[in-house]
Amino acid sequence: MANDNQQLDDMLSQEYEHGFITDIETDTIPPGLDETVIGMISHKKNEPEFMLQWRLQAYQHWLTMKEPHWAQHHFKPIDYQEISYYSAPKLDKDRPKSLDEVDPELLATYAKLGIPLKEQEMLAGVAVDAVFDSVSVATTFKGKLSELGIIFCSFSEAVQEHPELIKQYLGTVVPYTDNFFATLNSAVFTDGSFVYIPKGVRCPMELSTYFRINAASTGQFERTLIIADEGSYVSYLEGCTAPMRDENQLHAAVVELIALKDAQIKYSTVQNWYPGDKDGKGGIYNFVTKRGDCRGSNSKISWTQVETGSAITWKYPSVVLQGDNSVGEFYSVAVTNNMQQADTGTKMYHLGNNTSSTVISKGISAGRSQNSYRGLIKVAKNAKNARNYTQCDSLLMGDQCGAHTFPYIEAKNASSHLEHEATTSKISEDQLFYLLQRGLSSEDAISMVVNGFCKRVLKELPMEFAVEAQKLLGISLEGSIG
Amino acid sequence: MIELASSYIDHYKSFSNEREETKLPWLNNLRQDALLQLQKVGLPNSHLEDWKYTDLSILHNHEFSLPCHTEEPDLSNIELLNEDFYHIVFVNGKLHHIPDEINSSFTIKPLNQCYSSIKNLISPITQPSIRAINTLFMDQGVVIDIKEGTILEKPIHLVYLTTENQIMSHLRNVILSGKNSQCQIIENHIAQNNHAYFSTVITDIHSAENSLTALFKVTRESENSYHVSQNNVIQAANSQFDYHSFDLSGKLIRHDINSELNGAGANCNLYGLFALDGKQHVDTHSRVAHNHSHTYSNEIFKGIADGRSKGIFNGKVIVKQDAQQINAAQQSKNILLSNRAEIDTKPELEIYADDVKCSHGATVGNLNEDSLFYLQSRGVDLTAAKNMLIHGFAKEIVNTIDLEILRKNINAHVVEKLNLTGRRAS
Amino acid sequence: MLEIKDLHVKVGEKPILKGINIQVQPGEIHAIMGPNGSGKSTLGNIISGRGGYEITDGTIYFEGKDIHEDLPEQRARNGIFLAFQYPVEIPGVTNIYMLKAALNAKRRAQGLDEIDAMDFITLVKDKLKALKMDESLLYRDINSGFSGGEKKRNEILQMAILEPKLAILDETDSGLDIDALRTVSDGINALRSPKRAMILVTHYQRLLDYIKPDFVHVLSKGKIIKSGDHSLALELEKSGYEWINDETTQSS
Repeated sequence: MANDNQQLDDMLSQEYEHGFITDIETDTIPPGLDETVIGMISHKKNEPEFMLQWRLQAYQHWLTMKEPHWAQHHFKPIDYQEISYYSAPKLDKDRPKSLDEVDPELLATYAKLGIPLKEQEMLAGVAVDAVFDSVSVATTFKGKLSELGIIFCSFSEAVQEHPELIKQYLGTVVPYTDNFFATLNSAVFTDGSFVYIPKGVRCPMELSTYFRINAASTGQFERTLIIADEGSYVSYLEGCTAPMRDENQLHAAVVELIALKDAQIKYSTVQNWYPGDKDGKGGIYNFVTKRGDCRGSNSKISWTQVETGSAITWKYPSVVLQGDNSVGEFYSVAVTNNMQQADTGTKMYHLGNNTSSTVISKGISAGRSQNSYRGLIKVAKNAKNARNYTQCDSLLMGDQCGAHTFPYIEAKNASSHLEHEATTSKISEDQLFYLLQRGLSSEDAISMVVNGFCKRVLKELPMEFAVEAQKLLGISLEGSIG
Repeated sequence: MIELASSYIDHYKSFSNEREETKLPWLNNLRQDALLQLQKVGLPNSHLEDWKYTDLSILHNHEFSLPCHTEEPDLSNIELLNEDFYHIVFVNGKLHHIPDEINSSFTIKPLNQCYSSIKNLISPITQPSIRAINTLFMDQGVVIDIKEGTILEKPIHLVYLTTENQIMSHLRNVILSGKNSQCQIIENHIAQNNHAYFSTVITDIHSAENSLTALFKVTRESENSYHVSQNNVIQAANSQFDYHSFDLSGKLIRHDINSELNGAGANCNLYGLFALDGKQHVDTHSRVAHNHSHTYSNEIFKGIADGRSKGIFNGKVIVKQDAQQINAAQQSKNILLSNRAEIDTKPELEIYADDVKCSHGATVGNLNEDSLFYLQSRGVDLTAAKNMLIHGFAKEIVNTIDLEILRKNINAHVVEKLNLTGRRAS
Repeated sequence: MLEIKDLHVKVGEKPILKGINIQVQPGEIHAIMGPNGSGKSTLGNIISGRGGYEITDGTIYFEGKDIHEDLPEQRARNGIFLAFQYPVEIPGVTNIYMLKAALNAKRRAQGLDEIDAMDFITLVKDKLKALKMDESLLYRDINSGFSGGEKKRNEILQMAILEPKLAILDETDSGLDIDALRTVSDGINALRSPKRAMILVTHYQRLLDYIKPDFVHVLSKGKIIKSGDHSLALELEKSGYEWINDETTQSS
C-alpha cells in the first residue's frame, strides 16, 4: 500500500486555503490587562454599570486562578500581558446600516472565504451576523426576524437595547468563576452574538455567525448568549475560518444556551481556524467554554461540531439536564493533522427525571497530531431514569499520531441506564482495496471511507453547513444522487 | 500532609531501629526515597487523578501500628487449607507458614532472606502510590521462583489472615515465572474479627518467555479494614498473565494492576468482580501498556453496588508508538441497586500507534425490567428473579476460573454475598 | 487477453504461488479449482493488484501489457473486476453512491463524460431486476448487514454495471443456497459475451453445473497440476482432490 500512503500523505498535506490577511486600520487597545483596560473596554462599548462590575468581579477572580494544563496538551504558558484585549475595525462613524456601507475590503475578505454576504442575504434563509475581530459589522434579515419578536443581534447591541435580558441570563450557565478561560472571557469579552426567541416561536431560518480572527496579536473573546423561551425553536450555526498567522493566537470564547420549557436549541459549529503549519508553528489556541442549560421540562439542546482547525482545541460543549424529560445531544467530528492537538468531548449532567443524552464522537488523527475524547456522564442521586448512550470511535491514519479516549461515567441513581462504546482502529486496508478495485482513486477511496465513518455526525448538520463540513473534510458530498 | 503522615514516619523510625540494614545501602536508599515521598505528599489522595475517587488521606486519622507479637492463630476454619495445595500463611502481616523445601524446580523463600537476589527487580519509587509506604515497611513476604520449564501441578495458596485490631501490615511478594513455566497462585485475604486494620500487599510478577501465570485474588477482609494492593506484571514474549479478582468484603479496597507487555505474543486477561453493600468502597485501576507489537489484552470487570457503597473502575490501555498489530478489549459492566450507591467508571484508551484494534465499553444500569417481568410471568417471585439475574451477571467472571475447587469455593461466597444484596434490593 | 507466465508469489517469507502459467482469451471461461490453501484466492488478488504480496518471478500481461506495476484502480478502470469472496462492509457509504463514483471513475479514464443521474438510475434498476435484488439495497451502506446471498448478488450487480473485460469471481458460490446460486449464476451467464473473459475460482464443482467453463485448472500447493475441460471438474467431484494429488505424485 506504499502508493496509497503516498497519496494519503499528499491529501493530508493540503495547505490551508484561507490564509490571507486583510489590511484594515484597527482601533486597538495596547497589549496588557488590568482594571483600567477592562474599564476602557466597558467604556468604549458604553456599557451600563452592572456590566462593568461583573467584568471586574470576573477579573478579580481570574487573578486567583491558574492556567490549566491537565488536558492532553503541550503548550507554553501564555503571556496574558502580551495580548491586546480590544480590536475593532475602524469605521467612519457609526456602524453601517446596510451592506453597502460595509468596508469593501471586509466584504472581499468574506468573499474569499466563500461567504459573500450579499449573496447570502438573497439566498434563502441564512441571516448572518458577521463578526470581524471583535465587533459585529453587519446583521441581515433583522427586520424579518423582529416581526416575530426574535432578537438576533451583536452582544454589545443587546447590552444597549435589552439590558434586562442580559442581566437576567448572563453568566447563569457559565458563571464568571467557571474556569480560567471562561473567567478571563467574562472580564474582557468584546462582542459576540445574542439571540432571544420568544415563547412559542419557531425561528424560520438558520441563524448564522462567522467568526474571524484577524488583527495580529489580538485575542478573541467572544460571548454568545442564546435564550429559547418556552415552546420555541432555533437552529444556530457558527462557522469559523481564520487567516494565516505565525504567532499563536488565543481564542477563549464562551457560549451559553438556555432552553426553557418545551424549547429546543440546535447549535452547529464548523471550526476551521488556522491549525499552524506542518511543524506546528503558529495556529490558533481554541480554549472555549460552551454549555447549554435545559432549564425547563421537555427541553432539548443539541451540539453538533466539526472541528478541523486550530493548533490546540480545548472544548467540551456540555448540557445541564435540569428539566424533567429534557434531552441533550452531542455530535462531533474532530480531525487533527500535522502537529495539531485536540482535546474535546462533552459533559452531560443528568439532574432532572427521565433525562436522556446521546453522545456520538468521531475522531480522526493523522500526521503527528494528538486527538483526545474526554467526556463526563454524570447522574445525580435524585435523577430518576436517566439514559445515556455514548459512542466514540477513533480512526488512525499514520503511525505517528495518537488517539485517546477518557470517558468518565459517574452514576448515583439506580434507575439510570448508561452505555458507552468506543473503538480505535486504523483506516481499513480491506475497505480501501475494495474501493480501489472498483476503480476509485486512492484519494476518493479514503474520502469515502472517512465520510462514511463520520456520517452519523455529518447528517446532524443543517444542509448549508453539511456542504462546508464535507469540503473541510476533503470529501465530496455523499447522497447527492438517489 | 507532613504532620498527617507523621505517625507513619514515627513508626518507621522505630521499625528501622530494630533492623540492621546498613549492610544493604541500596535498600536504605530506597526507603529514604519512600520516606521523602511520604513526607512530601502523604498517602495518595484525591488531588491526584489516579486517586480521584479514593482518598487514602482518611487513613491519617487512624493510629495503626505495626503488630508486635502474635498469639498462635486458629487456622482450623480457614477454607482451602486442607486442599492439596502449596500453602503459605501470613498472620497479621507476618509469615507464619511456608512449605518445606519441595524440589529444585521451584522455591518459596521469605522475602527478607533473599533481598540480594531480587535487588534488581525492585523498582524505584516514582509517582505517588501505595508503593512508598509499602517500601518503607517492606520486610515480610515471599519470593516464589518457578524455574524454567516447571509446570506446577498444584496451585500455590497464599493466606493473609488478620486477627488483631488497629494494626497495619505491608507485604511484598515477588513471583518469578521462568521460561516455559506454568503456575497458579491464589491470594486469600481474610479476617477473623471485625477489626480495623490497614494492609498493603504488593506482588510483582516477572513473566519470562512463554510462561503462564494465573493469579486468583479473593478479598474478604473485615468490615472495618483498609486493603490496598498492587500487582505489577512484566511480561516477556509469548507470556500469558491471567488475573481473576473477587472483592466481597472490606471497608475500603483499592487494587492497582499494571501489566507491561514487553514482547511479541505477550497477552494478559484481567477479570474482576465486586459485589458491594453497606458503606463499602472498592476501586480497581488497571493499566495495560502495550509496549511491543503483537501484544494482546482483554479485560472484563463487573460490579454490583448496593446500599451506600461506591464501586470504581478505571481501566487504561496504552499503546506505545511503534507497537503495531495490537488487540485490546476492555469491558466495564455495572449494576447499581440502590440510589445511595454510586458507580464511577472510566475506561481509557491512549493510543500512539496506528495498526491497532482497541475497543472498550462501559455500562451502568439496573436489572433489566423485561427479564424480571419474564421471570415473574413464569411464577418466580421478584426477589428470586432479581437474584437470578444478579447471579447470571456475576457468573461470567466466576466462570473464568478453571480450577474447579476454587471456582466452587468462590462461587459459594459470591452467591452468599449476592443473595444478601439481592434481598436488600427488593 | 490475460497471460500469466511462470508466476511466483510470496507473502512475507512464505511462497504461495510457485510457477503459474495460464492464458485466457476473450469469451473464455476458466475455472480454477483446488483445495483450501492452494493459492486460489491469491491469484485473484495478484491479478487485481492487492498489496501484501511479492512477485518474485514471472509476468502478468493484460491485453498485451505488463500490468504488475499498475495500481489496483488503474487495473479496475482498464477492465479487471474482482468479485470478492468476502465483500467488505463499509459503514456510512451507500451502495449506489459508490457504484456511481466507480462508474464515473472508469468513464473519466476512458475519456467519457460522467453519466447522467437519471440514466444511471435507469441502468441500475434494470440490472437490479435481473438479479432479483431489492431496490432498498442500493441505499444501504455497502454490504453492511447484507446476508451472504445479498453480498454475492451485490458483487454481480457491480460487475454488471462496470462491464469489465475480465471478471475474476472468487468463491462466488460459497454460502449460497440453491435458489441464490441459480440467481447469481443467471446473472453471471447473462454477462457472458465473446468479448468478456471470466475466471471462476471455486472449491466445489457445484457452480460449474450452472456456468459451464471452457477450461478447468486444478491448483494445488501453488501450482497448476492438471488442466482439462469441464469433465475434469466432474471427475474431481467424484473422486476428490486426493485423487489428483495421488495421480500427480504417482506420475511424477
